[in-house]
Amino acid sequence: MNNYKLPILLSLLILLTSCPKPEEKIKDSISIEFYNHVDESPLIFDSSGYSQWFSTLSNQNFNIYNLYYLVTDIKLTDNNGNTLKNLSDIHFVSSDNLNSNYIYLPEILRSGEYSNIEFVFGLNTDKNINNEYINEDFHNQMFWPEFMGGGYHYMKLEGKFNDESNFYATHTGGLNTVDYSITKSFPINIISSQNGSTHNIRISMNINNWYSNPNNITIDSDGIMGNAVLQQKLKENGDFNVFNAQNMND
Amino acid sequence: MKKICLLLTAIILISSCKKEGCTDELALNYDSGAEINNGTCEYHIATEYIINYPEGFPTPQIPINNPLTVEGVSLGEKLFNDPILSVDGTISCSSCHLKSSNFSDPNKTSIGFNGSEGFRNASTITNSIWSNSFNWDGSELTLESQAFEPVTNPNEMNNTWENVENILNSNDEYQRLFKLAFNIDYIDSVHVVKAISQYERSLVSFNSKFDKFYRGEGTLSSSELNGYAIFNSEKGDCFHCHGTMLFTDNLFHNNGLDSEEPFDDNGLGLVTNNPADYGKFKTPSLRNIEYSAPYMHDGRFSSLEEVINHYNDGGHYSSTVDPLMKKIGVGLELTNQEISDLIAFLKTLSDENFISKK
Repeated sequence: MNNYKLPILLSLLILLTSCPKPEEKIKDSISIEFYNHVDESPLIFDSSGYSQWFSTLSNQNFNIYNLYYLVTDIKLTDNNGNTLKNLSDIHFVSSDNLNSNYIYLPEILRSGEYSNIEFVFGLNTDKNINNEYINEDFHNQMFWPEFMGGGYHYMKLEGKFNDESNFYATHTGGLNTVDYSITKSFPINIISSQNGSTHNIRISMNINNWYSNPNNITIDSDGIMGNAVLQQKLKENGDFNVFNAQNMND
Repeated sequence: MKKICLLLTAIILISSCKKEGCTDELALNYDSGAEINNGTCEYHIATEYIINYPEGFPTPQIPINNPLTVEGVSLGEKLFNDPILSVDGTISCSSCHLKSSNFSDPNKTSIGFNGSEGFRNASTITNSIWSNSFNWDGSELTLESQAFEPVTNPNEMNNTWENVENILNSNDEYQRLFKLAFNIDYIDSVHVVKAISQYERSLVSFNSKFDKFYRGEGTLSSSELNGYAIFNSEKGDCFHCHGTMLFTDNLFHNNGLDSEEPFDDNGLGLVTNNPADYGKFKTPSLRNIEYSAPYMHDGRFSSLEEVINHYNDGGHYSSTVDPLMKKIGVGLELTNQEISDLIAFLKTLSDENFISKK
């Protein structure tokens, strides 16, 4: 009898180990690119640190030296309108650091269909708190003086206009507790099958459109931080057609 | 055979007569009567040095391999003020970083060994615990690495580290202090700069008239308040580079000092070798600016009035001038009263206790 036990035990072991394991599901990943461009031209800086010259719809020439902005509360929602993922609390895009144009979120999506992406350009009132991000690398660059309400710049867009010796600084932010942040929402088609794939989302900003539609804004050397009228106009332009979002895998 | 036995017995007897104990003079339980060290020496454990900083300041960045201790800071202060580091015993760190001048140099450019002149004004080291780059051109990324350089610079202390180590190791007082601070028996250059850096990190200033006003413990005059408003408006536009409670962005800018290129001093560009960085210098903090004259990397301005006039006149265009100099060549158009108010505000950043503290 004992002579049969060992072969049976071995056969059982072989059978058990040879059975296929249930397939291990790996959550899908997300890569977000912040793509900054002026109409058809991507924003690229030459060895001087400046971009090429562009022209607004009003035929005003400008180039770009610095572009810094904060994007908050990037969310994906499903077909039923449920927010499934708060992808990023706050993200600093800096022309000094090209890596900041990307967020990579590994293995973050469960199976499902995601139909909408939403984000806030700048910080809404809940987030725009003085010294709230004091230990973040953008604090020193993006803080907004308490004298003008405190908090943070939403965007610093700086460069030259008209010719080499004229400088502008399009700085946007919440002014004296008025919230000029811009919440944008775009349809997007992401189907996560939990097979470990990466979904590439591009959030585009057409810089030229800050200065046109619906409001034509003339670039000049005057500071605009304390100018509530211009902050409102920039908000309206930003809300109109500055931003876009798409799934690059489509 | 008998002889060997006798010899062994004698050795055992002799050695057993020697007293065991701690024979290290630097130990807390040094036993002057002990002849054999039995491994029981106990040493002083350095005491943590705590910096209590007010709200609005970021968390200080202290290297994990050089935490601040009471003993380290104290030793660093002694080294900082001791000309023993220079080749002829005449120059100390404090020769160019004078406390009365907010730890910068009242000379336009610093005078080093044998009267030789440096080519920049010595940067202040106050509040350097909140900085992540050092020197006007950002050539050093830590205080420790910065402290290595002046000792061997021929225009500064003109010494060698080998010489410094020999002198310090032959000094009983320094041997004792290094043992207390770092528990080391041989003083090396690494621990010298660690101690100096600890002292430098302890030089924090946040108790000016403005700070008291900010904390609700004091008031500003109407002139000072108006200066505060100009400082934080885009008319004065000081805050973009000199903002936050540190009154510096810790970044590098060309603030329109010179139009002629190539510049006499390429600043950050000397470090990065990037022409786009030529003429850029680190933004100094405005804390204690009243005491920090002369101003700019080359000490070209001797008063705050001259500094403000530079901006009010518009500065000079060059290929790397910062776009924040929006009114380049035009100027801020501040009135005399506004200039006066702005200077009044800047003087509220003076921390008199910090400067006069012994």
